[in-house]
Amino acid sequence: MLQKNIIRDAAGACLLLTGCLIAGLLLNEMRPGALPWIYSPLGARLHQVTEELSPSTINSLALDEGIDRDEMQKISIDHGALVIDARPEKQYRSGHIPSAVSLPRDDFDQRYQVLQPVLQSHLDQRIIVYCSNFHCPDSQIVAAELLKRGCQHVRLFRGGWDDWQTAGLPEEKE
Amino acid sequence: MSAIRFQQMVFWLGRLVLGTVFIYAALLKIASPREFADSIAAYQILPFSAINLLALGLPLFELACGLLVVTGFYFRVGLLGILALLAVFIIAFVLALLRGLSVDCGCFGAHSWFDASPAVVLVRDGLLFGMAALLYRHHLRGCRKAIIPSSPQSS
Repeated sequence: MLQKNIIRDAAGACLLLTGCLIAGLLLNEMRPGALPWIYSPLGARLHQVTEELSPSTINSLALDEGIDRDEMQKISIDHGALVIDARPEKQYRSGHIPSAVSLPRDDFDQRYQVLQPVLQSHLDQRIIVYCSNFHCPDSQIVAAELLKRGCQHVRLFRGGWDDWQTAGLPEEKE
Repeated sequence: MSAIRFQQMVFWLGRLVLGTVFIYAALLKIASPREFADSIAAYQILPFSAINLLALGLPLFELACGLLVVTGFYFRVGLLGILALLAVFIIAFVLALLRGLSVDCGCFGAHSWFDASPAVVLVRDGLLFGMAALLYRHHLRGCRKAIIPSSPQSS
């Protein structure tokens, strides 16, 4: 009897999983910026974004060691640049560098529309992009997108949020 | 409070904790499917054609299982789903570590402090698995008792 119950539960779980996979695909189609059916690895996505950039611009971004935490702190205090948080909005809301604006990689196209007036006025000014830490690719992808759209002085704060938070520097929440 | 009542309360609390953890983790992943897809890809187990499908469907499955466990509706199905998810994840995580891959668990969204180190991830998921297994066993036994009542004692 127990075996029968376990089999019945397993069948229920399989049915539920199938339903969730189908629902996931359907919901994805309704979402702006839907995922493609086939996964595209990070490298390929970055390549796709940088395809239209000139080789010198790509090199400048790839070779850019970025700014360090001290410089980032100075910028945050004197508002010397537009600071962009490339992490998902949820993470931005739970804490970010003061005065940073959210432009998540996941929702780039939509958020870019909202921020366009601000970004247009910063085309020839410094823009600093950061994400979670040294390993996350979000800041590079967002920076490449910004370069593609005409921003000229985009730099990375590669240490990102983890570096900032570890140092106990002030943060803003929304 | 009788021992049975106390036991019932402990199991109810266990259900609440387990279900809430899964609902919370699912909502984080539903909000950032691309990040979750990157986390799945880092394990280098699945073909590219399956990654996005799972990145979109698994968080909904987690959410559904969490809700079933918390509400008690088809409770054992939800628990078995959670057990299967945890078992698959623990195996994939250990395999990734053995292969020397630097994987971010991605359980609570990418780069979460919940997933600080592999040891934390394994201990946490091991505990959740143990909790789910105990709950499932308890409810299966309850089911058996209901089906085969103990024989009446002779006076």
